[in-house]
Amino acid sequence: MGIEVKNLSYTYLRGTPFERNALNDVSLDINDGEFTGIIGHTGCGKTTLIQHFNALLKPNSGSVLIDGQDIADTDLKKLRHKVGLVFQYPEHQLFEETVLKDVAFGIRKKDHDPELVREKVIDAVKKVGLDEAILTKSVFDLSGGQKRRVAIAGVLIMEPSILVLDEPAAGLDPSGRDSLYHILTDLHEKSRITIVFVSHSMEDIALLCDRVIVMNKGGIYMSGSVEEIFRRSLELNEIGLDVPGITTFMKMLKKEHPQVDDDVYRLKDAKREIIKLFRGERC
Amino acid sequence: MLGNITLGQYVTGDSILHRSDPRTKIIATILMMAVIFTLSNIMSYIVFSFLLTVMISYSRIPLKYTIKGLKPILFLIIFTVIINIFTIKGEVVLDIGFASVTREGIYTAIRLAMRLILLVITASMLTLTTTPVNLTDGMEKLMMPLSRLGFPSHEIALMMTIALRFIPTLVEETDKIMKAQKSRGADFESGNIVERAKSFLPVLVPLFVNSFKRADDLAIAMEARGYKGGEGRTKLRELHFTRIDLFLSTAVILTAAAVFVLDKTFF
Repeated sequence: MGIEVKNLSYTYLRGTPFERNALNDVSLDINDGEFTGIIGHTGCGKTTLIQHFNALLKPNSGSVLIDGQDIADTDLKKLRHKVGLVFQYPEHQLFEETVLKDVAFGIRKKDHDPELVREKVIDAVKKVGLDEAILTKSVFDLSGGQKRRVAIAGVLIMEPSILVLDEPAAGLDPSGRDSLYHILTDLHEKSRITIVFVSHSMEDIALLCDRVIVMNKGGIYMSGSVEEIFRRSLELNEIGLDVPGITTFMKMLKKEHPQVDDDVYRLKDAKREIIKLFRGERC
Repeated sequence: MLGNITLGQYVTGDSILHRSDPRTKIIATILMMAVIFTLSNIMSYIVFSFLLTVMISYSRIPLKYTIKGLKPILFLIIFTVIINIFTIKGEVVLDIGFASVTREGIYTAIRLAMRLILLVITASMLTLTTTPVNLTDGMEKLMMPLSRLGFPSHEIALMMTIALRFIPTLVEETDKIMKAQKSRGADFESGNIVERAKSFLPVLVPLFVNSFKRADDLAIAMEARGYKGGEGRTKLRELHFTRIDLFLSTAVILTAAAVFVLDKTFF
């Protein structure tokens, strides 16, 4: 189940001189419980694609199925609870006076019990690693990283089973980024949420994802496991992408020491390989 | 939704209209609009529409596209037509109990509708063929004589440039924020008018916050690049009248005069 995209095409401003083709005949499957990364050059259609997942955009042709149901005939509210979409720079959407009110925005309803709402908000805020004390603060008094997390909590409160994030780490400092990734891995492992993760950072994709989808010029260029994708470094270079920095380093190392395995995409694997090399030399 | 508003957005091109001086186009537009206001006969409006169509074909902008630009004022047109048909007194042609339609009412309605349509299309021909920068440059130049009297023509032109420059940005941003709030379960379509107005609060607050930030950044960026107001400022592209302008202004003046005379004497 999960997300099924069949022959999806989309054109912006169709029928005007500003017409711009964004997606061409895209087909892909994302299974339940997967952590999928989407990479591609700026303007390759990543954002357009993910906006179809919760029906913010409707296909010009083709179809998008969420859990087997076509988005064209699903109740939008239910769909948007099921598929949580976190935009790039999500802190730009915060507007309420307090964190409590802002996070609760997605589930606010007249008949909701305020105590229950509060409980849910606390739960969501804790999931993103923030303290309960933050609830009474104004959203405009928070730091950049806190704002980002509050915004993500505002999506998590709807208890989505699929979480889509568009470059969630853009503009965060390294520690903010690390704690955000920690939150995502936690959500993925503990709450079994399907995660779709759009990023420009090959390192982050290699670190987090089970599967990678590479997009180019409005189409799927290739898809597969982290190893399958990053082994094809020449093809990636052709479309302006690259392998993780550590892989480049291992390739350089292999030139000097041919016994090194350069099929390495994560820091911890590189460490293991390098230790192996040292031990080998000592013997 | 917001992407559909195409009223007067510049379309790149290389036609006579695109290449002529913005000052010529501004004055020509004002002249044409003035003529539209003076026309009293439906026949003159038809003649004028024909001439305007010829002009649009010169600009090589699809006719369909310019007509599409009327969408935002469609409601206004329909509203004026209905009000006029039913309220103007005269020879009754159709009586439906509580209201009656008069011959004069129908004429006035058609005239007003055509006037509105022609005004909007004429004005949009200016913005469709002129980049915002050229447009404000032209306005600044046209307002120059006034600055001797202490009128801040450069500042006003700069404000217009900035405003025009940021319209697409704001449209894009509004669209993005609306999408983000929709993803959080916001509903902009249902409910009565008060509820719907309220539902835009989650869009307006972030939009204002971001605009203030952007204004701040812009001011700093302009100062960093040495902006000190209009005095002694030179232009990268000076405006020049060319033969195209001579052709265009002659054509516009002649047709405007012809339609005006036609309207006053023959019809």
